Amino acid sequence: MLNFPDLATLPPEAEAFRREVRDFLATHLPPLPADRRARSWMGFDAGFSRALARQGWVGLTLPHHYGGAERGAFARFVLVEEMLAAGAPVAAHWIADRQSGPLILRYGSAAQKDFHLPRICRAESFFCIGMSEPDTGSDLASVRSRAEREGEGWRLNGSKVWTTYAHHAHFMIALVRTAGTPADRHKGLSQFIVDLSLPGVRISPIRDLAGDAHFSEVVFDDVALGPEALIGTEGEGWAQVNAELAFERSGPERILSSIVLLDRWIAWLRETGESRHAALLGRLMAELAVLRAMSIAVTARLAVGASPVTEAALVKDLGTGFEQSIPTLLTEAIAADPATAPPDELLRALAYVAGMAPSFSLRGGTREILRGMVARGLGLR
Amino acid sequence: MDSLLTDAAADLLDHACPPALLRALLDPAAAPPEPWQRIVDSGFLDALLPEAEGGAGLDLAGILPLLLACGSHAMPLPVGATILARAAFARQGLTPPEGAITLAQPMAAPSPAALLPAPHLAAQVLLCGTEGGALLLPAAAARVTPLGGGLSRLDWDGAVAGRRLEDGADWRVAGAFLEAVEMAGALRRVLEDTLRYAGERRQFGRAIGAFQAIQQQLSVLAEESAAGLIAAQLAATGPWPDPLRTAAAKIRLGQAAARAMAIAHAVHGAMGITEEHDLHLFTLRLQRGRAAFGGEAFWSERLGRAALRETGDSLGFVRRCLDPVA
Repeated sequence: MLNFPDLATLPPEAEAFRREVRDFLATHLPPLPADRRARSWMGFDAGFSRALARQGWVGLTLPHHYGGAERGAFARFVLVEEMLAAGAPVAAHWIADRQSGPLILRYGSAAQKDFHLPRICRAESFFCIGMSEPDTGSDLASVRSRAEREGEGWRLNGSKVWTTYAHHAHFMIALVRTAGTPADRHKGLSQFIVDLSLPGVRISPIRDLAGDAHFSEVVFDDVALGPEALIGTEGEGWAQVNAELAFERSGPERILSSIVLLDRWIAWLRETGESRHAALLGRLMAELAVLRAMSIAVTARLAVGASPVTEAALVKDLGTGFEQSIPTLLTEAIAADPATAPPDELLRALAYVAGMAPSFSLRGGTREILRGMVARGLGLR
Repeated sequence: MDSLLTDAAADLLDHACPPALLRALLDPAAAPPEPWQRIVDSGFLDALLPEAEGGAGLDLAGILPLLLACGSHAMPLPVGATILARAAFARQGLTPPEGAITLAQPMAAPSPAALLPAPHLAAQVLLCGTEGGALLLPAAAARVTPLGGGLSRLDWDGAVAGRRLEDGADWRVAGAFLEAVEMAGALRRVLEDTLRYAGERRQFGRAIGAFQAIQQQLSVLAEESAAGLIAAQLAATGPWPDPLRTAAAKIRLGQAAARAMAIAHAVHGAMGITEEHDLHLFTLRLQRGRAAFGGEAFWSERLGRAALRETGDSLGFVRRCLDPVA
C-alpha cells in the first residue's frame, strides 16, 4: 500500500529566495508575447541562461566547489515554479542543470566533474539527453547504438532521435550498448558523454507541429571517443539512467507546461469582464492548488534525502493530465461564442500548446510506464 | 498528520462502530444507542473548544484524522457536524444543544425542509442560513419521507420553534468542508478494499490485480485517492473552514469520487451494487458527498469568480489563497 506523503510547506528561506528570483526575472526576462513564453522549458535563449548563471543559479543544487549554488530541493522548486510561471526561456541550460549535472556529480570521475560541472554552472556547456532511438522509446533497454572498444577509447556508431536541442547542445549523455545485443535487454548498456563537435556526429533538426525545431536526429558515424567519455561504470548504464530519470519527475515542470496559456486566457476574461467561464476557471484552480501541494509534499521528501520514486511518478501522471487538459478545455471555452474576437496572442499561445500537449505525457516516461510504476508501489507487480 | 490522533480516532470508530453495528445503525427501527454514547464519552465532540472550556483546543488540522476516519468507516453518525456546531454555540456564549447535531442545506420550500441521510441518528438538525448563521430544529419534529440512496426529505411545520444561531458563519462552507474531508477518508478506504479484492479474486488462472489493464486502473484510483487526501489537508487548516480552501477540496474530491468509483466498481465486477457489499456503503457516501452542500459546479463557480476578482497570475492566486499551511 502506497502512503502518499502528508502536506508540507515551503520553508521561509525558500519563500525569501522567491523574492530574489522575481527580482531577477523582472530585470532579465526579455519582453515576450504569451505564445513565446508558452514554450516555457522549450524556449531556448543562451543569453538568458548565461545571465542566470552569472546570478549563480545554474547548477542550483551542485556544490560550491564546482561553481554551483549548493541549494536544496525547496529552492529548486521555487526557482522552477517562478521561471515557468513567467515563461522564462530556460531550455539552454535546463537539461544540464537538472539532469546531466546531477548525473555527473553522482557518477563522474574527479576529472569529469572538474571539467564539466564548472562549465555547466557558467552556462557554457549545454547538454542533451541521448536516450530515444528510431525504434527505442519507452522500451529503453532495446537501444542499438553501440560503442566498441578501440585502443584506449571507444568507437561509437548508431543514432538517437527526438533529442531535445541537440543542435544547440555541446554534449550529449548517451545511453548505448557496449556488450551483448538488444536481446540482452538492460545488461551491457553504458553511458557516455559525447562531445557533439567531434567528427562523425551529424545532427538534423526535426520540425514539429508548432513550426519549431526543438528536437533533432543525431547520427554517430564512427565517432572516436576517448576513454574519459565513459561516465560511471561500463555495463551499469541501465541503473544510472533510471536514477537520472528520477531527477526529472514530479517538479513544477510537470504541472505548469500550459500555465502561460491559462494565464493569458484569464487576462482576456478579465479584460472583457466575461464571467461565463468562471466555473471552468475554478475547477482548474482547484486542480492546480492540489497538484502544487502534492508536488511540494514530494519535494519535502527529496529535501530529507528520501527517494520518492513512486510518489513522483504518481504526481507526474496527474500533473501532465492537468497540463494536457488545459488546451482542450480552453479550445472549447474560447470557441464558446463564435462572435467574440480573442486576441491574436491568445490564439497563438493556444495553437502552440494544443500542438505540443501530446508530448507532455510522453517526455520523462509515458503515462503507461508511470502507472506501471505506481502499480509496483501498490504491490501489484 | 499526528499519528497518535490518527490511531486514537481509528480506534474509537473501530470500537464504537464496527461493521456489524454500522448496518444496524442504518435501520431507523433498530438503531442501537451505544455507538453515539461511546463517541460522547471519548470527549472528541468538544475537540474544537478551548481547553479552559473543557475542550481539547484543537484546530481543523487536529480533528482531520477523526474526520478522515469517519469517512473511511462510512460513519452515519454526525460526528463532524456535532463538533463544529458545539464549537459554534460555545463561541457565541450559548450552551451547545444536547445530542447528535446534523448539518443540512435547507431546500427551497414555504416551511423548513432539508435532504438528510439517516435522520433518525440526529437529535437536532442545523439548517444553514442563506445570509449566514443557522437554524436549529429538533429532528423528531420533522415529517420524514425516504427518497432512496440513503436520503430522506425532512419537513417541519412552519410553527415548530427553532433556535437561531446568529454567528454570521456561512454554514454551507462548513457542510462542504465536512463532506469533502469525509469523502477523502472514504476514497482511501475504497482504494484499500479494491486493492485487496484485486489480490484475492482470481480469473483466467491468476489474481486480477496481475493483469496490466487492471493495474493501470488501480494506479489511477491510487492517484485520485492521494489527490483527495492532499485536498482534504489543504482545507483542514485554521480554526474554521475557509471558503476558498473548502471550494478547492469539494471540487477535487467530487472529481476524484466520480473517477474512483467507476474504477472501484469495475474492478469489483459490479458486485458493489449489492446491499451486502461494503463498497455499496461507500458508493452511497461518496455519491451523497458529491451532491451535498453544493456540487463541483457550485464551488467551481465560486472559486473561479474569486480568481477573476484578483489580479496577477493563477499561481499567485493559488499561493495567496490555497497555499499549504503548516
